[in-house]
Amino acid sequence: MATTAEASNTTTGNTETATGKMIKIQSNDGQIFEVDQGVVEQSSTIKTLSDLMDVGDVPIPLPNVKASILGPIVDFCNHHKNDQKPEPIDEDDDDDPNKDIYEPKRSDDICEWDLNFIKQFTVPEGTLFDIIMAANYLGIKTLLAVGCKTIANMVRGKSSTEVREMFNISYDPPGEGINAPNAIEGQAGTVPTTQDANATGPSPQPDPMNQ
Amino acid sequence: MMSTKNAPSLSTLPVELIYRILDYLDIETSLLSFRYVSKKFYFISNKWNSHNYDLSSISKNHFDLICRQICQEKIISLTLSDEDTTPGQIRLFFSLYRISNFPRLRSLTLRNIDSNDLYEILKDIFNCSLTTFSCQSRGKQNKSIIHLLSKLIIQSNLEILSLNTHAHYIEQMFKSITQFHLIELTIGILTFKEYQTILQYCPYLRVFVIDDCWINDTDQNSTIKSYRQLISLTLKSTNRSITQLEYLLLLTPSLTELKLINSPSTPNSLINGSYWEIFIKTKLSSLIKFQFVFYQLVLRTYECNADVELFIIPFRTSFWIEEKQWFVNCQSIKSSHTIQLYSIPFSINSYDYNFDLGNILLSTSIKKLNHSIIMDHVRCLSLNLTEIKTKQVLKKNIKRDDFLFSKVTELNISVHGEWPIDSFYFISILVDLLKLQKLSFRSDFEQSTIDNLTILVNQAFNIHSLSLLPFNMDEQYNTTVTNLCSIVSLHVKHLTIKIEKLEDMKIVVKKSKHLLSISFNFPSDRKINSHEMIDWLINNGQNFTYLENEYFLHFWFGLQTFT
Repeated sequence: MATTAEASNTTTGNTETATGKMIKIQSNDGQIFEVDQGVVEQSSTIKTLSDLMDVGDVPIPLPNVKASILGPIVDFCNHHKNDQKPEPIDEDDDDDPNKDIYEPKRSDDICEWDLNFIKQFTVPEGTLFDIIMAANYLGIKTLLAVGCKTIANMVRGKSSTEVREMFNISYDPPGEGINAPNAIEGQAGTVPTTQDANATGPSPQPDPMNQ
Repeated sequence: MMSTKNAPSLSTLPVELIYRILDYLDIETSLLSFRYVSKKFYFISNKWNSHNYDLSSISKNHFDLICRQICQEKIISLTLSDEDTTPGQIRLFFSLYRISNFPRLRSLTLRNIDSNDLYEILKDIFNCSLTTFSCQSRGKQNKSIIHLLSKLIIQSNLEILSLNTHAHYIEQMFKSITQFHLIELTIGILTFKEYQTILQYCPYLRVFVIDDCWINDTDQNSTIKSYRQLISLTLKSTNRSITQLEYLLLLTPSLTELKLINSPSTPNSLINGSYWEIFIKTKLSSLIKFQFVFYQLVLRTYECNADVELFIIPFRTSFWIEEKQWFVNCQSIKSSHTIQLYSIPFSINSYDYNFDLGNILLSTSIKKLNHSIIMDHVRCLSLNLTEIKTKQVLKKNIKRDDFLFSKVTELNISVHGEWPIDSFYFISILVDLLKLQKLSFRSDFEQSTIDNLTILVNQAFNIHSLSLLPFNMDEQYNTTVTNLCSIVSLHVKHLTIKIEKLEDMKIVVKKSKHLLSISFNFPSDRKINSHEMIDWLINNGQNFTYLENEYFLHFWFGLQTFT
């Protein structure tokens, strides 16, 4: 049975938006959250669905997100709804060789509030990955960036052995399970060749960062 | 208790999210570590094609490994450096690869490059479609280089350009341009005429930074044109007067951001709140952000708040406090007879800390701000520990709610004579030792100083760069090089040290085998044959590159093999 959570105003205390229009969203375990336009604007998925459907009082179902993740996401969007909007960047042409990507992306610029926010999600419970995947599904770029930067900061400077330990990844031998070359190439495409034949060896055995 | 059996993990993330994580990783971790975590990550890493190669702080060992794996068509951004920790890197890299063979390269940064090397690279650069080019060169920039830079600007689609210019050739670079897409420009020194030329020929220029604003050829009789494309202007280290700056600023009436830093030694004071208020109201009406650090030398010592209040009172009008909400701090620094007035937060990344009980600090801020917030942008702090008086004084004047400079990663300390007894307490109030990455220490190196410095370096275990130089550069240490090597902990990867003779260099290299780079400073009055050192290293089978400039010999080592 659906329950309604008043999550939209917990952070900023605002009750009205520019339009005053409130929208209901529903997690996959039936919990309903009421959010304002400031939250909707940050999620391309919710925005598209609310634009396409004349939802009225009917909650928008979000089948890929459970309430324990959707609640904090609403908090995050409430906190950031008055942020200055960045200039729009078209991220759909990553493979375009002529795309002018020239600035390395920084990961040391997560603000204090976001650092504290992301701390509630952990690797052992898998919630850190839940929040990243939910941000990706909902199209919330700022939250997705915070999640990916957090992982990058955890990995930076660590050896592959340390990364395996940190994320509980077992080193699986080539040719088995989800790491089988066929399965992987299905996701990542064919392995490119490089100038140096040594660059893509047959098996990821070495651990140069430990040398 | 929550079950973790089927919990999502890093290995179950979709490929596109792994790519996003890789975008935020440095190239060392992504190529040498992350790639080898599992077979899945190995293939994903191989497919990932947006490599940002920042090799400016890499070890030579990892540099050699990465150079064996470079896939030139994947690199979109490349940063190379000949600075102290990677001397000789640029020449080594371009002995392996030609810049013209990087088809997707959009951003190239070259730090501290030799002018001759720059010339060779520029000759080969025209096949690249760079949008960002940043270059700090050493040595004379001759007309041939300027000609090639000009050609690069004309033929490419550069949007961001950063150059350190020591000669007045800029006009030559820009005068033949008709359609230029530059959006951001950072430049060293230039003349007023060159400044006008740039504004005239760069119709899309929005951000302009001048590192050394010593423009002195403003012609106040000429007709003033306006260039409304520019919205952000930064003038650093300027020694110009208010009138001269006014003439400069009149050219760009659409500025929304202005940053002015004047030189501490300038005789021209810019501290005049009433003037700036009128000027901004009438000539820069779009200005939203105004950051500044102004200095003024004063002839007498200011003993009371009323004296300093005279400087700050024009900044207390409704224009500053209510309309613009630009707040300032004003400090009289007794020892240097200086008034320092700055917008909050302090907008320069380096700060000379002066501990003097006679200093007076006033603010226009209505609420009391935490000092660490005011100094949030400061990353490099310099202080003279000899100035410390007693712990009682420190306790009385400093509240310990946070580090005073909480973001500092680089600390420059000088100590003359004995190590002051309260130094540790003092430093621990100022900075977070665990955030320090670089420590430069100037001292006579008495034994007490060596002992305490060793403790300090051990506690600050994220320091990777350590400089140990005499308090007076013309003098010698009061200790041996062997003793100094005892300070160099295993976590230190770069050392700068002064040596008196060739044998000293050998001692340092042998005693600190974990170092990845060393900068040796020669005494100015003594000849040391660097070739003997280089030959000695070669004869001992060492893998290294080196750079020699002025009184320094810099080495970048691969794995050392001394036994």
